[in-house]
Amino acid sequence: MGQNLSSTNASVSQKMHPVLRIGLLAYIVVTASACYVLILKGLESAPPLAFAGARTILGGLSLILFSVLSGQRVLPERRLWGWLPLVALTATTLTFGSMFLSPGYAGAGLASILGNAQPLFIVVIGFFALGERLSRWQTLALLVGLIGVLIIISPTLAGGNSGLFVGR
Amino acid sequence: MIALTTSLAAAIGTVIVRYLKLGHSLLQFTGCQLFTGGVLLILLSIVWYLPTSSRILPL
Repeated sequence: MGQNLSSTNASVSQKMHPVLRIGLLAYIVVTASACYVLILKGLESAPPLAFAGARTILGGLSLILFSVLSGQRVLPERRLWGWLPLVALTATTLTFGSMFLSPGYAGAGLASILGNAQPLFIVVIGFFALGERLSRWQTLALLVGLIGVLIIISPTLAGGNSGLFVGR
Repeated sequence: MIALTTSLAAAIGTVIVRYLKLGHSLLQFTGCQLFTGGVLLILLSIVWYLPTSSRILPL
């Protein structure tokens, strides 16, 4: 439990060539950001929640189908069944529901920035819930990130742009 | 707030998944939770839009 975040994925990342590692990170950033623009485009012809539901059902079925075709079992271990509804609610329903709703309210750019602030929250929740420690640099990066989020939402907190919280 | 919910909910989900140590069930658990969450989203969409619109499914 009390492991350092920097050493968590060290074995995987250290095996990668630095250029490949940076390329992979850039790919994740580009696809995660482009996703919001595509969602905004798709919202012209689909209701947000059903659009999000269709996407996640398709994704889930694809993974289940892959499990079947590759000869693996379809269901996860029994000990995990009880956790399934909670993870589905947080990691899929709330995440994708708000992801597909937010561009319509806050615009693709702002929704993308706030929607991708996930690593900052993971670090904070991981620190309190899992006892994961942070290095000095990671703490500094976290503070800079959180200050950035605060700057972005400050007009709303000051009452200048209520659109970010409640819509246009 | 809606945009921030995306990050917050995803972070909570990620921390739970990390706590669970999925191991060899990673693929199956991800597939099942995506499917379950997707069904919940469709149901939520029906509840949300049914009173105001006949356009529920993205067709």
